[in-house]
Amino acid sequence: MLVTEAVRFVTVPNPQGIHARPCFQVVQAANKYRADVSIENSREGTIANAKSMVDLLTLNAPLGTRLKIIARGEDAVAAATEVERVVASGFGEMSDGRGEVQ
Amino acid sequence: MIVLKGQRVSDGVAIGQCTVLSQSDVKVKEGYVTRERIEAEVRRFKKALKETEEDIRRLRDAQSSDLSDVRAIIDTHLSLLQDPNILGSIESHIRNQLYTAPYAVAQSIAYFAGRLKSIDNPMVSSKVADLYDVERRLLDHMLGGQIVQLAKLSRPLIIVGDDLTPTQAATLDRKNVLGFATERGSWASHTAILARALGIPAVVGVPGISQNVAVGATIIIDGFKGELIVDPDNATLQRYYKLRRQAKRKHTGDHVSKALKSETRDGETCELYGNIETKADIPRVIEFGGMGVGLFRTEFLFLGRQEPPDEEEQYEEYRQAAEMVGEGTLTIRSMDFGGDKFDKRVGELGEPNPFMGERAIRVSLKRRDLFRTQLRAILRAAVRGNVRLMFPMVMDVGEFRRVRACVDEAREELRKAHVKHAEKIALGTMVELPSAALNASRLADEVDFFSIGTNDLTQFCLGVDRTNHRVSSLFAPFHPAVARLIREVTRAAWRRQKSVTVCGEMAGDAFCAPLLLGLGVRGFSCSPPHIPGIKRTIRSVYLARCLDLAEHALRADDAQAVRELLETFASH
Repeated sequence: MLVTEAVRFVTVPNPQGIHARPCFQVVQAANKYRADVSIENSREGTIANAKSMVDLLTLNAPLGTRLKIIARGEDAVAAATEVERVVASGFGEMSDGRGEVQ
Repeated sequence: MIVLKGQRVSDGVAIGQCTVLSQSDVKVKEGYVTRERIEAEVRRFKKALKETEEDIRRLRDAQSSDLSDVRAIIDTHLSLLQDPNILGSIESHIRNQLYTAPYAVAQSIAYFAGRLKSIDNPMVSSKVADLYDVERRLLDHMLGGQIVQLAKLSRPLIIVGDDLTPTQAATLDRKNVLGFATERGSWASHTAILARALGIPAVVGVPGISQNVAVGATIIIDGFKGELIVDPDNATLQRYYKLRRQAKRKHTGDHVSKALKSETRDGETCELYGNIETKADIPRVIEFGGMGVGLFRTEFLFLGRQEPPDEEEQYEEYRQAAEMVGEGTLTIRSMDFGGDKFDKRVGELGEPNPFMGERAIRVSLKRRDLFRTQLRAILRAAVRGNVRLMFPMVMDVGEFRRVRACVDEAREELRKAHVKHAEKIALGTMVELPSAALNASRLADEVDFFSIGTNDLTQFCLGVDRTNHRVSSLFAPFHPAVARLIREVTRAAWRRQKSVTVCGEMAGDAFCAPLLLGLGVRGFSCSPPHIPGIKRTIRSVYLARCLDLAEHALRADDAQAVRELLETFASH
């Protein structure tokens, strides 16, 4: 089994930051993959399991927080890309529907 | 019968059987298992987990699609139930610490709840409630407790519990909930918000409710008082059936018809009168729905002229006024000169402090000729209608007796001269001096009625001349001390079954009306255009709540505190 690691960076684009509904969407996205996905809040130095609602809730990431997405596993690239996409989309809470991807 | 007191958050009366929700902060007993029992305990937890998930999925399927908020709550709960960190923590507590499944759940949830609470973002920390909701469901399954199916009640019930969880509030079977009574909660809790939205009574923050209420007990929720009555006796039940009927009467909208009674929502009737200065004002009193004249300020007959009006002229004025009022009452106040409407020909000029000088009944008792003429005219007019006579600035019982002696004298003269006059006329006193208010119980033995002049009463009570702009901001008729004086009067009057009307400006201020009602006032006399507003206010309030308001006002620190009470009252 080929184990790969994928890393993506994304900035929280929605005004309300990572609260319950975004957490739910991230969990839904991460759960589609076998890879372990974690999200690091570079500002706070905290790291959360992207498949854990309660962990993501405590990530404390308001608008503008830079997040590092780390996926490990055979489908790591797909998982990281998908989670990045969900965060960058602004969870449907953006007025223009877009997010900023770095 | 037990009466429990809580916070009043939603008005109304509910009577019915109750169902008791399981407690969220059930203290799960610390418990350990032997190593041989570990696998069984993990299975016990997983079984409860599966059942809880099924519960929530059923709840989701039962929801109509338009309730997106409810969906979001349910989604959150499902994710928490599938959260690998939470599940891992619980299982690890069982396997490594040998905790019983319930204890492992309680310990894990407590840990994650603590983490959520520490987040400085209400959108996150508020999710603690959801975490507890999930915990409660898990524990209910493991401990064999019954989850009350709030989403589907078999019959109308009163819900008793700790506090509603967000799911419970959102998915409640609204048709079948009569009211709420909860141990915790506040004005802003789920339970309170929901109760107000549904228009059903609720009392929250009732300490000891779970110890005192058993499932199926008969309960009365008095939403007006913020009380809960468990196992009420028959008399109490009957009383509340009546109150509930009255409370259900529909509040009419903005239009206040003359035909509508001026009664509170719980059926307390009030009398509304107009204040007039000449008989020409009477049609307006009737037009605005007043049932008569509560204050006829006769001094205006005297002002601005060279000679005081003679007996015939006054008689004509009073007679016509009495006839115009018709079935209603005409309350004539003897001349009140002095103070702000001083007539130089009658009193003395140059008083340094005219409000506290020779005015009102003090002038009448000194100028007996003027007083005698007025009394004769009033006694004669009184045969033409329902006339009452009252006196301004009466200080005490002795003074009232001297005034009454003058009335007797005038009557005697009329009798001797064979002039038609009223043998009986209701005699009352204004209460404008704190001395009169404080002597109200003695005065109540002598007078037929009281009329409280709040403008003077306030300025004498607080020592504030409201015409003096340097201190006029201190003038506050709803000051707790003024309220106390008013209540002295109403109490004395009620004890002797004498009527009390308020005829100061306060009586025309809809903002103050609930306070006056609560203080025991049932008669309001104000300028005619204010009558509909007062009636509207009276019709929109419950006396029970006004009583509560008054109790708080009497204990308030200052006028500002009472103002805040009144504002809070008005905004609910």
